[in-house]
This record gives sequence, structure tokens and C-alpha cells, in this order.
Amino acid sequence: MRLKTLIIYFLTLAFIAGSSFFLKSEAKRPQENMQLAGGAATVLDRSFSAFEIPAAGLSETELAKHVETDPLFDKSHIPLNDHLNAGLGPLHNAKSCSACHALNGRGRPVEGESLFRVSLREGGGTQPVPGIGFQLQDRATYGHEPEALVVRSWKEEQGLRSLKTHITRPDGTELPEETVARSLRIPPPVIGMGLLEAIPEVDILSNADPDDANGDGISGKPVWNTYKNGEKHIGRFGWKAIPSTVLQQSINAYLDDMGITTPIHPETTFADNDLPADISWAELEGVTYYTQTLGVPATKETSSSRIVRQGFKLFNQLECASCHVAKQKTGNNPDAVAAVINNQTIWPYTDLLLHDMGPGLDDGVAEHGLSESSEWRTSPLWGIGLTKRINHYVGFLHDGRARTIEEAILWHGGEAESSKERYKSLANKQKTQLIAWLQQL
Amino acid sequence: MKLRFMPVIGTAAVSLALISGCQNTPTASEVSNAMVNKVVLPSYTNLVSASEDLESSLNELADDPSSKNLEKARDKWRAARKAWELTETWAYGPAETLDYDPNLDDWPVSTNELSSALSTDFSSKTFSRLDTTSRGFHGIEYVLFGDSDLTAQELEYLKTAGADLEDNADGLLQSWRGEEGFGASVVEADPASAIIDILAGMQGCLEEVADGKLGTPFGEADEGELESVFSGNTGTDVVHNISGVQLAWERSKLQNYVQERNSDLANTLTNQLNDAVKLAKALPARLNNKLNSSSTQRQIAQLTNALREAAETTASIAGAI
Repeated sequence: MRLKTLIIYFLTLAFIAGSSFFLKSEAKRPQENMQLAGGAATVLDRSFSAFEIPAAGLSETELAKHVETDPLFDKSHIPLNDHLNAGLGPLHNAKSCSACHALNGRGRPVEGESLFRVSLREGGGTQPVPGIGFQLQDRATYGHEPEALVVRSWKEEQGLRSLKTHITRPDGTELPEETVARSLRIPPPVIGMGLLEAIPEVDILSNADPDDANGDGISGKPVWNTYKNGEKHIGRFGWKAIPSTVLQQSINAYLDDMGITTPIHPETTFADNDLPADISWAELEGVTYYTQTLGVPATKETSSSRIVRQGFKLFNQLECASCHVAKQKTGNNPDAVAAVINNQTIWPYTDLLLHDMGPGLDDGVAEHGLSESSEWRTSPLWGIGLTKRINHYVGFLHDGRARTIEEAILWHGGEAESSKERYKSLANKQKTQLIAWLQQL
Repeated sequence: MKLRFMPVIGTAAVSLALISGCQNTPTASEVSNAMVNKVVLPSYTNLVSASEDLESSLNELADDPSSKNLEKARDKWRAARKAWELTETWAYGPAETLDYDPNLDDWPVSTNELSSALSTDFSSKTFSRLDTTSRGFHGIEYVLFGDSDLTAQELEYLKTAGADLEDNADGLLQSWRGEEGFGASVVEADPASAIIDILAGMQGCLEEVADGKLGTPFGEADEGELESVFSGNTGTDVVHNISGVQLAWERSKLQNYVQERNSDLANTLTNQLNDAVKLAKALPARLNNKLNSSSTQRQIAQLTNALREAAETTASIAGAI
């Protein structure tokens, strides 16, 4: 539980005010103030706690609520007596949000605490595994058996590694790789989720081109969720862009990852299985609020630095920005949980759309038919340079296979194949420039 | 002759004073080095030693469950607890990222799970199936400070849990040691970042104590939110948490480093930490019995304010240097 105080808040406001002076002159140049990755919600912190700082610009009331709800993210859940299977589990992957999202950052694939999405290969990876479903819970509360145990190893080939798994049920039967697709999912950082949630759907759709009508080889696809009330909304979060809101992401994570049920609406204490929910609406809403009001760290370099000028230029030349769209703007939502979320220019480097990343990243699991197994949401790149500093571990892409940023680039295929090939053909000096720029995000 | 030498002596004295003053101001490298070698490694070495003592006492208790051995084991738990609580300021390292913190200090205790496990034949295999919320300091505390008439299963659990605790304490120490350890390869390798991280760790600890350990439980009058409730050690934990912040501040020479750059802030923080420790030491024993006491609530409010002010000063220092 970490909290930067009003002093940092005011220092950040002063920084932003000062930056605005330069913004006027910067606006005349090609680059804008990219250092403010989260706009006015940017925090001036690149320490180990950089991902745990409340957004700059929160009002006193909003900040107090962020502080109050902060402990919920670290809260360890336990089995309870209230009703059958009350509390944690019995089947789960972790017992708290921060158990996976350590220091709000990128998780590690820990043995016995790894999240695998699974499906039958037959039918294109859209069918659940009998007796398991779509997510394998490898932990269970005392007195229960986990769904399966996973033994992992890495296979190295031409400088890149890929994951090999051996999955067995408690009775010893194996889930064969030939028939059961499996996909290890590393927990992504939780910074900036309130800002990403606030990008208007029309803006996300402006980058979409699912049939590649313009013939540029990029076919960003939105994921449409249909809610019980019939409304359709674009998915934004997670590796496959399924949940549309931070609230839905939280509900899914509580249930799928911790075996914790949540109330179906604010006026009830019951879950949709007609049993009392394991946590209250206040707790669910609190975790959601905490996540929505986290800040985004400023980049290390200013927009005018040579590292940024050189690296960002290469980023665009390689057409990485076709999917990792550099700049977005949040809308103006009168119901926004914090005023600072509205009307911000942010630099997340994502279009929030699905892209086919080629056979190398095709793990055979198509999420409920909402995506193909080779399609992945463009991961936001903000904060990527802090990964090692915060988590003391580097593992990029959905299963953490990429040990460096370069390895992550080299795994790009499908729609990103040409960008990868352009990277490979760069001179070493230029590769260094691009990586240096990414590492200061 | 005396008068002729006076200017020389005077100049020499001034020069010496200047040199001494400069030598008293540490560099960033010296701060990061001191943090590793004078703060963290000694603290984790103490933790391992205290954990070994606790493990031994739990083994003795299992062999001879007398009231004398029970009290000895409880004392050893308190001593090991002190050794751990002093280190929470630097938990941002492997304690957090390699899961030593939850392995040692998860809360709340999963009393349902533990009670269920202890109602059957208890073995190391049973222990291996327990979550961290049934192990570590608080799992041991739950059993050790519960019913004095310990069952065979509970004694077996205490032996196993004591060995597991020591194992994790040792793992944590080793993770900081050596050329490839966190101390050398991360902290000492980047002194500027190390200073920012030390300050962030100090601030985080102060705020966690203010909000998580005291603010929430007293605000909600919820005993279940109070750590170390079974032993009544909550207040003592708090004293040691704040003392750990002082250790990081003083023994790493960070205090001197900041003094050189902003003596006002440095002095303010030193005084605030001293005041906070005094307020914490004045708390009554067994805070879990005082949740509804208005005088204790006033003391808690005063202490949490003091902690938050110290946290603000720490943040100011981070911004100023």
C-alpha cells in the first residue's frame, strides 16, 4: 500500500503548469509534450512505487477515497464460513489482486500461481475444456483439489524461447497438448486504466479496420460485448480486450482468478448464483475506484531530448505506431469517477484493438469466440521502461516469453511482420536508439 | 613568534574543518552502500538468527510442552517479530517481488483452513497444502498464543511452521547477498535510484502503518483488521515499523545526505520520526481490547497524524533532492 501525498500532488501540478509554458512552443514543433504520458494525471515518480501512486490532479475528496480503497488491492482473501464456498475459492489462482499484480506491475509466472487460459483445440479454440472451463485454477483451498498442476519449461530456439507445459489433473491424467490448447497469461500492469476506459468508443473505432479496407496490412478489430440490457460496448482490457470497463475487469478477476463472487448490482448482497456474494458492492466498487484513479508515470526523458526525437522517429518509420497508436484523448464524461480523467491527451501507445500477431504467438485459445487465437490486444507501452525497476523481472508478451524488449519485437508476426522485418534490417545504432526510447517510457 | 604562526594555524584549522565537513557528507554511492551493508544485510542476518531461535524453541516445545517452554517460545516469537517488523521499510526488494513477505507475514489468518488442517493427522504434507495465510508469523501466532493446552497436531504444526519461517528468512537474506544479489546488482549499482527507493520505502511504511495498521482497524472498530491481534503485539509492531524507518534514515547516512542539501527538511523529518516513536511507545498494550476506548482513539489519531506528516516530509525530501 503506497501513497504519494498532497506535496507530490502539488509538485506535479507545478510541473504540469511549467510544462504548459513549453507546450505552447512545443506545439509548433512536430512533437507534443509526450513526457506527460497520462496528461494531468501523470505522476512524477519513477521509483519502485511508480505504479502505485494516485493520479495527479485528484481533488481532496477523490484522493481521500483513493487512499481509503488502496488496501483493498492488497487484501488477502481467505475461505469463510458464511455459506458454501464462501470467501476465497475454493478454486483460484491467487488470493489478492497484488499477489499477481505485484506492486501494481507486471507479474511473474510463479509455479503454482500461474493463470492459464485453456480450450479444446477442436472447433478453433472456442470450446471449454470439460471439467475445467476456460481457465485453469491451479490452487485450491484446504480440503479441495486444484483443477490441475502445470509443469513449465522453456525451449530455446535461435535466441528466442517458447513455453512448454505438462498439465495433469489430480488423478494423474494428462491434458494432452494435441487436444487442449493452453495459454499462460502474465498479469499486466494496472496503471492508467481509468484513462484507457475514458477513451471514447468512436475514437477507438476510428483506428479499426477489421477487413483491411485500406490495404495497409493492418486490420485492427474491436471486440464487441453485449450486456444483459442489450447495450454493446467495446472491450478494452486484458490480453484479449474483453472487459469493456474497469468494473467488469474487476468482477471477472474476482471470480475467475480468486473464486470470489460479487453482487450483481449495488442494491443487493447476492451474486448471480443466487447465493450471498463473497464481497460487498462497496468493496468491488472500491477496488474498481482504486484502479481507475491510479496515475501514469512521466517518461524519463523530455520530448525534446535526443533519445526521444531519434527513437520516436524510428518508431513511426517502422510503422509500430499503426497499432501502438502513440496518442489518445479521453472524453468528457460527467459521470467520470475523477475529474482529471476527462479531456486529457495521453500517450499510452495502444489502439485497444485486436491484431493478428501471426503463428508464433498463436496459442490455440480463442476467447469465447470473441477473438481468434492468434489475435491480441495491442499492449499499452507506457511504463514499459520501469518493468525491471519495479518487478525485478522482465517477461514481456502474454506469457512472459520475451526477456527483453528486442525479443518482444522479434516475436511480432502476422500484421506486424513487416514492422519486425524493418526492425531487423536497422543498423545496430538505430536499434539501440529505438530500444533506448522504449526504455524511457 | 606565536603571532607569526597564528595565521598558519588558523588557516590550517579552517581547512581541516572544511575537509572534515565535506568528508561527513556522504555521496549517493556511500548511501546506497551503507543501506545494503549497514542496514539491510545486518537486519536480515538478525532476522535469520531470531528465526533460528524461534525454530529451536518450537522444537523444544514440541518435545516438552511445558508452560515454561510455551512462554519461552512466545518470547522467541516476539523477538523474531521485532526483527521482521524493523525491516518493512525495505520490503520493496525481494521481500515483495520474490514473495518472501507473504510467506513470512500474510494477514489475515485463514482460521477456517488452519483449524480444519489441525483437526486431522498433521504432517509436512498437510503443511505444504496450506496457503500463506495459514503460515508464517501469524499462523504460528494463532496457534502459539491460543489455547495453552496444545494438541499433538498443533505442536507438529509449530515445528513445521517454525522451520518454514526460518527457511524463508534465510532465503530473503541470501537474495540480497553477493555480487548477484539485490543489494549489489540493484541498490549499489544505481545509487541515485537507490536513494529515491529508500525514501519511497520509508514513506510507504509510514503510510501503511498510519492507514492500514491503525487507521482502518480503528476507523471501522474491526479487531479482525488488526495485525498481531492474537498475541496483542500490534502496538509493538508499530513501534518497530517506525524504528525501521529511522534505521533506514540514519544508518544509511541518508539523513546526512539530505542534511547537506536541505537541512530544514532533514531536521523536520528526524524530529517527526522521534515524536512518532514516542507516541507509538505510549500506546496501551493489547490494542485489540481498546478499539472503543476514546482515550486510545485520541492517541491513535495523534499518532496517525504524526505518521502522515512524517510521510509528507519524506515525500517533500524526495521532491527536493
